[in-house]
Amino acid sequence: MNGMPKYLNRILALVVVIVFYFCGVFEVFSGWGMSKPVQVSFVILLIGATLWITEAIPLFVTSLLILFLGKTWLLGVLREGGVKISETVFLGPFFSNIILLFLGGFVISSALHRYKIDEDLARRIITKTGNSIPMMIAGIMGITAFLSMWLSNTATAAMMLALCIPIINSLPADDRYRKAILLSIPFSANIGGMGTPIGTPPNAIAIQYMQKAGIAPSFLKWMILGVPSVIGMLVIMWFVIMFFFRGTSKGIVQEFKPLKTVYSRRAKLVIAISLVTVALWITEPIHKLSSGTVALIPVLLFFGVGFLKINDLRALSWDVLLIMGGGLCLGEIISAGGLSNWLVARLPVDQGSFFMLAVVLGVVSCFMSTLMSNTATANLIMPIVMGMGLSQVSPVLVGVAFSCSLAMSLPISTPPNALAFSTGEISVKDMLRPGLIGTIIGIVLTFTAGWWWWKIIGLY
Amino acid sequence: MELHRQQCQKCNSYNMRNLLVRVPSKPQAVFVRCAECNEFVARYKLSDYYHHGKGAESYMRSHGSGAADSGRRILKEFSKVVGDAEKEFAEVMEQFKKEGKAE
Repeated sequence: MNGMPKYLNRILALVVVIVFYFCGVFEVFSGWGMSKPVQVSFVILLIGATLWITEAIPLFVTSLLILFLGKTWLLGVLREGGVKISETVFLGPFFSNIILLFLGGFVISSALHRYKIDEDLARRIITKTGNSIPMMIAGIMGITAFLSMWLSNTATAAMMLALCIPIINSLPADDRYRKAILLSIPFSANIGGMGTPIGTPPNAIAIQYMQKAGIAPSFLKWMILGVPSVIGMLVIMWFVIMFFFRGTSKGIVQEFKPLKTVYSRRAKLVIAISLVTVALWITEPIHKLSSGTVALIPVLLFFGVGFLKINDLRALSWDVLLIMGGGLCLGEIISAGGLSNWLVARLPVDQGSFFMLAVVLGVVSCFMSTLMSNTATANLIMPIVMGMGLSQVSPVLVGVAFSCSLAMSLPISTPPNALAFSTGEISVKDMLRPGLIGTIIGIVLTFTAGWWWWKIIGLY
Repeated sequence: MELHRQQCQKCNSYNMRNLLVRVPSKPQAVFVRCAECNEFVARYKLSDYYHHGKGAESYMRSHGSGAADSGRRILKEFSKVVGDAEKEFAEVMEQFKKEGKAE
């Protein structure tokens, strides 16, 4: 994994990027029937893919590079060809409704974390289920997944790990439950992300593309299609973890002291504002306010009344928002440059192969997400899905989003996996066996039971 | 490199106790108290706290990181933090020995 020195990785990526750039400049792909704008958008896609896959530069820098190339290169080529296009087409994705939605999610997460409301909830569950370790693991998985539906998967996993490491250390050194508890946290954080539009960036990216196609599910509808998957996968992963890591200890004596911060008036208001925001997200079809607009409410209130300070604003994960914006910008580049039309004309996609195509894209996304960032994978795969001209794009996009979350077999697959691995308590093999089984079962279920369920609730 | 051992201004003891203070949205602070006479000795603020032997989750939490996007990058960066900290500590101890300040 770390075999290649960082500088070599960078140099190789830089060489590939330069080669792609000159391929675009000298119109090398003309023989494939590509016009100049199509070639430019194709080259920008290749450059983005190279840099996102190799992570030679930070992921958000790649996003900004895509914007830069779109504004300085594709825009000029299009205008030369007489196309009237505003540069806001490429700028817009960086401050779209979906970015606002995620911003709201981050702010709620920051407020809940600041007043330790997330931690208090987790402590209560662990205290209540601690008499039996299998039950406690079920409790840990349930609360981790629930929190990661609303907070970032990484922040949830970091908080839960910090809470559970003293419990793990209280168990005998050879007890396999130590590994079971440790693995239950990243797996359930990854799975929980599927449950809401703000659970993980690939969900939001899928929704943004569906919105563009005029078929986006509401916040509630996404939950109806995502929460059953979360519950089903949690149950399966509990059995998988128990199968591999059933230990000997009976229970733990862990009485957490109540956290004073949770009982302050401010903390109660934070809970109330967060619940109202969630309620407004869920009732979007009634009041017609977009979820992005609703997401501004906690931002305005928490910062407006001083519950959160300027330093909290600075500490938000702006890089994740930029990565998402870059992916959506790439989608605009592919569409504006005509690459999507070029793809539609050449790919032999019909209704007969529609399901198989979704399965193939899901498996490819899962494979890519196992080795690279989930968001970067969604950024690369989803614009291509949109470019295929499918009559039913929604289930394919949802399938890709879920497949990204289900990739959890390696320490590098997701940040929660990396955090659990960094404790030194588990080996790659410990994570690989249950993670791979969970991933395979998850993909099979997504494209069988999930596919059937999505049709029942009217996704397609 | 300039090295100093912290010494109590009241009883001249070198035996110190560090009290780590973490307040959300503020830089972490360390208050140094003399372990012999309990005198307040010093306060300093941290920009890159790392507790050796604890995992990346501890490091991330102490830096207030929320969402992250790449497991690969987290592992790489944390491994660099650990490596740098160990190397710097070894250098400091070497220098300490040279200056005859080691206990």
